[in-house]
Amino acid sequence: MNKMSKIFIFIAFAACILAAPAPLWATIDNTLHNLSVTGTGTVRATAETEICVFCHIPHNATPAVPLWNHDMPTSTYIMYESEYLSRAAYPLPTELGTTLNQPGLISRLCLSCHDGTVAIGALYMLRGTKLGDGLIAMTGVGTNYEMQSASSAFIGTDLKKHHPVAIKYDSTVSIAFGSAGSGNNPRTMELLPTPTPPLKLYTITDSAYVECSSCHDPHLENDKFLRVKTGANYAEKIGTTCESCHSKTDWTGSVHQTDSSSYTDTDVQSTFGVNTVTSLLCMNCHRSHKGQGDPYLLRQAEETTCFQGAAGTAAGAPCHGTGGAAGGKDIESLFTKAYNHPAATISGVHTALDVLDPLGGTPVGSKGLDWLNSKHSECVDCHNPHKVTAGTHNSPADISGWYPLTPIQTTNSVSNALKGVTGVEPDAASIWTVPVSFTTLESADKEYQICFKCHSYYALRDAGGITSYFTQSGATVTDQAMEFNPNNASAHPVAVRLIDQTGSPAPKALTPSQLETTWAANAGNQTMYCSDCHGPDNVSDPTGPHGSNSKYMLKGDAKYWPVQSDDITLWTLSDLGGISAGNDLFCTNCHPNDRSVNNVHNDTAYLTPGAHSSIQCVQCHVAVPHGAENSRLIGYNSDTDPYNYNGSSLQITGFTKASGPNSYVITDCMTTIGCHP
Amino acid sequence: MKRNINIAIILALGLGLIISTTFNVYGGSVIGSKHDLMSVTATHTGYGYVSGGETLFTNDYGEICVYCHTPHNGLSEAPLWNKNITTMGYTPYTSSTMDTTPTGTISAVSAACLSCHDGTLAVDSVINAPGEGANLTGPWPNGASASSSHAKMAASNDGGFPLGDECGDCHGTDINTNYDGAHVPYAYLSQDLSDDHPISMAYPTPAQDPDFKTTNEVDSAGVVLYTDNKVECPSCHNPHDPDQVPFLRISNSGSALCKACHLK
Repeated sequence: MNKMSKIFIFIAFAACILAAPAPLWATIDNTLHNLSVTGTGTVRATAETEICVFCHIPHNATPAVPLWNHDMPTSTYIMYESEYLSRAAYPLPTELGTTLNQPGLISRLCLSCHDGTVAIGALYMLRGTKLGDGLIAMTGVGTNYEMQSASSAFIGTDLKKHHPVAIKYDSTVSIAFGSAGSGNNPRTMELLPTPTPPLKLYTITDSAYVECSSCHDPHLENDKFLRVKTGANYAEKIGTTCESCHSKTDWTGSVHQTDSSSYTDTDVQSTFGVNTVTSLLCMNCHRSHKGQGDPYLLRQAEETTCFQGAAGTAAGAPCHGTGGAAGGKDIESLFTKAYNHPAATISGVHTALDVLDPLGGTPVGSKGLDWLNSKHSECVDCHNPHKVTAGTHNSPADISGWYPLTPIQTTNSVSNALKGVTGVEPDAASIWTVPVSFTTLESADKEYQICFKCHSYYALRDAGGITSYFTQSGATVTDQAMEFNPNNASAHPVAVRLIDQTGSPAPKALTPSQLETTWAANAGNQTMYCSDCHGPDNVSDPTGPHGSNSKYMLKGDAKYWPVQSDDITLWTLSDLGGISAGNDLFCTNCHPNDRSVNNVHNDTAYLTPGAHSSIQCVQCHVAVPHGAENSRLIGYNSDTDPYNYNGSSLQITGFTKASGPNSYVITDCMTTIGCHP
Repeated sequence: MKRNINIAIILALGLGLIISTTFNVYGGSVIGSKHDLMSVTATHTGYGYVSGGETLFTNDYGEICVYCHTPHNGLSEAPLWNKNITTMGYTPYTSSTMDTTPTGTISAVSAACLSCHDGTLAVDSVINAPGEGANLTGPWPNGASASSSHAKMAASNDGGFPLGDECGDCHGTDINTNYDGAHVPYAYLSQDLSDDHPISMAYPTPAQDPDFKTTNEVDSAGVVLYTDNKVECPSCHNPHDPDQVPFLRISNSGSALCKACHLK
């Protein structure tokens, strides 16, 4: 062996012995919590080599458990609270503890760096010396050597924007409604009895609490230190984390859990490792930290979450915003139309479970849903994003595309799109009287029960039924629960079938000849939706009364009532049938555009041919065709606006329903003008 | 022949390199360290006032080892131990995540350290003072007096009156007080060990907790486990070797001492 090879062997031998082996297993060394000079992150020491010492010290630690060594924040935190928790009487977190065996102390340990008030290098003790005000020199820190607020790990002191901590975990709390409806009463908190490991709770006496480290293990080499290590990508790990505790009723199989549409915003893919709605699960709408919509950890404030989901803009998301990617339904555009539910224009009013607290006040200062103080209309007032499945009640639709194929008795049951939404059912009231007491429903079973939350005394608080409020279309706001009261003499069959309209004298139902094909088959034996009359102005738009350029959001091939499309000329009997203008009369969507089905409309028997021809519809019928105190939506001249159009249109003073549509005689009507005595 | 010798030299050098990096054969000496209580006593002469005009903080026995050890008449629980020890009355560290439940009874080998470090006995309180024969009750050599009034390793509990019966009378509890460069406050453990790394509990088995290394790995790293695989004060500390501050068995650079046992 020559001299060179001996030297080479010697050097090689020495190198092997002296080389420090890098950790072969996952350790804190490879994470951002390695704050020593060997750390891989932006924030690290400039010289200090010890790793554990930034948080732990083996002697004289403060607090004692877990041998803590980082200077503690003295911050007072804004704790998480929500109307949902308050109205459920769920124990709210009060403050982050400062001594052992107080809830929240563990989270305060984490916040000793993450709330940005204490320098990261501020340790209690280092190698036998108390540092006092001294700091370990760090790089990547802010002006006061603290965590920078732009850091993705920054939490701050407003904990309302973050998943609650120092909060008791109690799956036994429940929320009582008046009735279950099609849901469950009482409603649970939708929490598993105990979290699924590796998530954990912290027990103090007889209660278990959620802390930062319930979901995070600060030593673990894993995305965001999540305890859940199993999962193909980051999205899956977060989803498993959420579902370790939260078990939302009917989430499995709901559209937001199963939809395979993709986000086109590339940030979604790069953040989560996937970009479909079904793989993002909770994270489509929520983020555990720093949601813009607080509480409830919503990604954005109110409807903006629905519009853009997890993307930066609506255009990058297959959701409900303008210009969204394939797979979404654009609702945002509908809200820009002239007449709309004001989801996009009113903000900061809606509170969760306002149906249980209609006048607000629980918690103190919270809003309810009354028109006077809390008028609003958010997406979640009508939709439950956790339970919603695809399908409206006109799937399949009739030949027009607007209405259900075969309306039957249960046609007014909530559709899939409205599944799981709270509602109210009015208690019985006498004829043409405002119902003033209601039963709250955990899940409405009829569509109108959802609408009545706001379109009844429950929110209007006017016992007279004719309020001082106006709609965007300029109409006076009235009480629909009063109008659809089954004890009224007539009503469209929204609440009950015509044969169940108890206040209606016989014959209750219309004959099939008085209805278009869709509705003729089950005349008298069917129900309908509020949204069969009110909805979008294009049949291709997403179903529902979101927004329309047609007054009162009247929907259908014909959209005009009580005036024609010139917004001036009132409809008259001569417009029925014949001239093309009659095709725009709203009623002709469901009732034949034909005077001959009814001998009052047909009017050939009387003195002057066409005596009724020039009569305006609103001279006999109420201008708000929901329901009436008289049969067949007839109004009396003693009625007031808006039922009496402009307060002076109605001419009838007495009306008796005939045994059939062609059996009317002159004495069935008494009027102020013309031939009737 | 020559070739074999050359190879042997290379291997010997390599072996020497292994040995020297594994075993700290050139470790520091207790002489001159903070555990050299003879020199500590010397540095404190003339400071303060104890009682009866005496200005000693600790007795000067003229020897170093005697403050802890004696060849005769000492205790058997710790090696030739020359101080009274107590194994009871300590509040142990407790945590919901610990694998074993500490009892509060300290093993003798840790109680030996705590005989000074819990602040209940004066640091110069010995069983058998130097001198011919058993010197169990005094008189003390070199003019030393009864040590019950001498310095205990504790925070001041009398505002400095008398001055010197606790180390804390002068050595403050934060960096801005005089004399704090001596690091003394760090070592006041008191009898409340709830804020200190747990001791006198068995090292967890892999079945009990996979987040700990095996006892073989612990041993290779240089940490020592005692009877029944218990972790004690001298598991991490070598009281005679001041090189790795404070008296650590191995360097804690990169938290290597922590990681000798903890798998994080």
